[in-house]
Amino acid sequence: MRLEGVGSVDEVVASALVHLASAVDLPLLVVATSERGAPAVRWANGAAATLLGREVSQLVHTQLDGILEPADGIAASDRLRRERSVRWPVQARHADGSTQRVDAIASPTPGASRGLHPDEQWWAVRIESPAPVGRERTQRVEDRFAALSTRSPAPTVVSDVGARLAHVNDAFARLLEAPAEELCGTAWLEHVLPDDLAALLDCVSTALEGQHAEADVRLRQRSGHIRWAHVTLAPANSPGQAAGFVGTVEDVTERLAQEHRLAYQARHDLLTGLPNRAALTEALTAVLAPAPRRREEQLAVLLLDLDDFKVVNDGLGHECGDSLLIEVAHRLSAVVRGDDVVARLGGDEFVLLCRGLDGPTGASVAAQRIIDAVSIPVDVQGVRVRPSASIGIVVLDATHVTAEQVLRDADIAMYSAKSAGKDRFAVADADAVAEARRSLRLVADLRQALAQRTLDVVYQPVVLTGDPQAGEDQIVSLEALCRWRHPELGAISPAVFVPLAEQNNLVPALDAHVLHVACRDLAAWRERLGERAPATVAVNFSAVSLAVPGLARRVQETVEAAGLQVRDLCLEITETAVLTDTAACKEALEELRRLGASVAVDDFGTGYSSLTYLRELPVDHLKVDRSFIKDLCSDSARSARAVTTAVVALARALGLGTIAEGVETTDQAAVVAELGCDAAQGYLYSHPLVASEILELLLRGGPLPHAAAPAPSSTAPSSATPSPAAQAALPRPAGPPDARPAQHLTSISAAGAGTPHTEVAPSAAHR
Amino acid sequence: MQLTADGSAAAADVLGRIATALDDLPAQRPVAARVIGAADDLRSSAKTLGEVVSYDPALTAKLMRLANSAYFGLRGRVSSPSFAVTVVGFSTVRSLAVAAMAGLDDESALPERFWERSLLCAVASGELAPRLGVRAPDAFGLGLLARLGQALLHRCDDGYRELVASSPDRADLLVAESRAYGVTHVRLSAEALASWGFPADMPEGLLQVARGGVSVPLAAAVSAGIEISERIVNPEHRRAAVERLTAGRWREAEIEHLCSVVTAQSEELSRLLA
Repeated sequence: MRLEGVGSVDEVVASALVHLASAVDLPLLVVATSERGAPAVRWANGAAATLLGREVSQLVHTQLDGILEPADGIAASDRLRRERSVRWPVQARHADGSTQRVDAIASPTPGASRGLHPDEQWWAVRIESPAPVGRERTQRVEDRFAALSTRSPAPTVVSDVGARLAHVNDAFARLLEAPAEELCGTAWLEHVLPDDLAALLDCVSTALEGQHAEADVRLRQRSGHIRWAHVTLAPANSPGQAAGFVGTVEDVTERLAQEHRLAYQARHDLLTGLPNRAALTEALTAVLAPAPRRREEQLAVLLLDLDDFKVVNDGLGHECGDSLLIEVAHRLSAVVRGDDVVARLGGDEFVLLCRGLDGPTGASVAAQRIIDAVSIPVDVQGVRVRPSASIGIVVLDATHVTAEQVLRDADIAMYSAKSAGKDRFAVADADAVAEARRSLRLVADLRQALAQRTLDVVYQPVVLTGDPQAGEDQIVSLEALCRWRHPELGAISPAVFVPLAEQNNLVPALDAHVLHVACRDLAAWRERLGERAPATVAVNFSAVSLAVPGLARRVQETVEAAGLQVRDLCLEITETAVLTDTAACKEALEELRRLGASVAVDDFGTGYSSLTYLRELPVDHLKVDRSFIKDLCSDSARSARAVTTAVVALARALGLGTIAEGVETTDQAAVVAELGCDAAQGYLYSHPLVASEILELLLRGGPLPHAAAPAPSSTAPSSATPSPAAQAALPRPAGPPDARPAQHLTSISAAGAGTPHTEVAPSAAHR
Repeated sequence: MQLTADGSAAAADVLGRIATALDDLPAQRPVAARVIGAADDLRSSAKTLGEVVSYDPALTAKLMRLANSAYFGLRGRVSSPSFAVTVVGFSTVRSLAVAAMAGLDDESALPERFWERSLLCAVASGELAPRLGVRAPDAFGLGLLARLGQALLHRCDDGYRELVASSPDRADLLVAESRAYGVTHVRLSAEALASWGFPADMPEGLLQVARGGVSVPLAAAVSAGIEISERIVNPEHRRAAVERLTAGRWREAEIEHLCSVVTAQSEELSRLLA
């Protein structure tokens, strides 16, 4: 835009500004910078000329650093490089040689101006006195900060020298219940508890040295109450001034109390207030930490379990149970010494860590004292109860390394006391502990063997009953039995590992393994032998396995994966097993039977033989328990014959087949045949054989020859040697014409875990 | 330095001796003079100032004792001159150096109870400062040097001792000083600080103290600090209203407690700096 006769507005304004700048008292310079030389003055006003003791004309073309000497040694050319305002300290050099400390403030002129060299940049420079300006600015900042912090809800303190406070805000004053004015200087330190003062002053020192610092300290309010505070200090230094800090003081009393509560709850049993398992483990770990020979005192761990606590809990209710536990906790705490530890592991288990006892003898005395204390009758919500306890004692020695190990040994001893009749104590002896540890190891190894499928399966032939003197018996089925050859310990008896599997929930896996192997072997024999291979495979299943949902589907998958069908399978279940959960068993068995499997009841006659379940359960065969067969030719022959006769008659009445188990002599074989059993198995006919031996036997195609063995033997292996036997179908059992069609035992009976795994165990069938 | 005597030739002579002393003292205590210069240099850090102080063992010892005193609240945690500088602040270091340079700690060459009064004034000014919006170290340092002029008069005029003795109160002394020399010792203190290159607001603050009336907060802190020190030392002191001196920031009712705090801290500093 241009104005008539006077040029553009810009030119008019520029002219006015130059006129003003020439007249004002503020020293002003215009300076040009370029890459070709040091910054030089292009214009100066009168005030600048006065300051520097020169004429304006003398200043033009003068190098800037020559008249405004940088106080910090940094040349103006290094400062005036970026197009933004910059302030720096200088000594203004008067023509008479004197200097004056001032500040130079340079502002770049915007854009390239007309007539300038492309690399040239012009700056407007004004000269101001430095100190008052800096101090006022600092003061303004501090005033603003003080105004802000005064209203802040967070307790805030400001120090300007050492630990002396210059300002505290209202929130800090409220925290200490004192007027803000009375907390300035070092007065605030008087509110810090003496024990925490060192930590706070360390924190202050750190902040004064320029680092962020924090501390938790206790502050005493004017009323005398103690508050926990988290103090956070940040350094607040001004150049040339003392070091100070700005701090916040957070009242963390409630938070710490909550944390303490949580920490307490994490380490204590909430019912009894005793240390819990975690705290006990910590205490035990602490006493076990020194090397055994450096443990200075004798320590004993007593694990106490209330006898029949379940009776109280179930009979009188949980509230009564809890009351009893609290009472027992009080008694235990009262009977031990001050530095002993009483903890509740959970349930009705308590542990006492006792110091200074004189070996097993001293520990036994203490244990009896504890049993006596616990046994005093107590009224639990109106009911008089006489508690009793079993205690396992472990006297710590060099063999004890971990808390878990100690508690495990104490547990073993406690169970030993329970087994011995309860209401007593037992000291963990080396043999019992070793045995328990062996069991633990076996369980671990068994688990691994199952995972790696290294358990063996052997097969025991089942033969048709006939003339025992004929010397040959027709194989009608094979029963598979599980065997475990431990890589280090050798053969482990099923009487050992089957109970371990039962106790450790490994039974379903064991059953599944045997099923898998039996199906695989049957499939292999079929491929090799064709028509001569067994027609079906029977697998024994425990009640536990039967109760697992989806069993039928999994069995079907396993069978089909081996290239077989479910109708190739016979399931053997124990009489006792089915009684435990008839409905679940029935459902699984019905499903499997619907798919084509046949079912045999093992150990028949040993349990609570219920005719009801025989009617309800889908069953095809009964296996007469070996205990009856064994007595057929003994002094108890009469009753044994009666039972066997009854079983056979019952089976026939229900349209079921019968198999005699554990036949070991020709006499027994003769009686079994005479009583009408359809088939038999036992050492008289054959030991269990591995799959390759079975294959060899079947390849030879012959029947099993049996050795005439008149003397019964329940332990010695039979001397019978297998002979080729033609596979024959078990005759359909006699019975009512309307009875369910019996499944022919032209099968291999494979033993799972809950059912026969061995032919030697006395209690369960084939164990 | 430019000092003018309104009175006699004797007074002019005294002021001339004082002017000479102000020029000579830095040469007599060169390290203290360097400390004063370094304390005013924006490029100085606590480390570099601490290093300068270290050249004067007596000054270093005083600085360390001061930094570890209860007044600064750190109680024995200061173990290096540089941290001591950090803790007490540049202005206090500078005041210590001036005190050393001017021999303010030498009781034999000073008016009676001079050092005690100076410490009381310093501590009181520092205590009063925060509420007045002043940095405590600034007020402390200026309070310590407010009586510097008295030391100069005492050194340069044998008659000053009698002048002091015949003045029952500080107000009387100031009147007597004005009459005898044309200036008060406070004005002389301000001139000395200006002559030794102190930041302008410090001598300016003392000039305001000398003038009385409306003043900047720093001057108010020192004026009130002087008032409190006089109350403590001189039972015959004619009291000035603290509310007036502090623009109402401090109340008379608070002063008794403040006096006891100031006395305790000052006694400790006196022991440490002796």
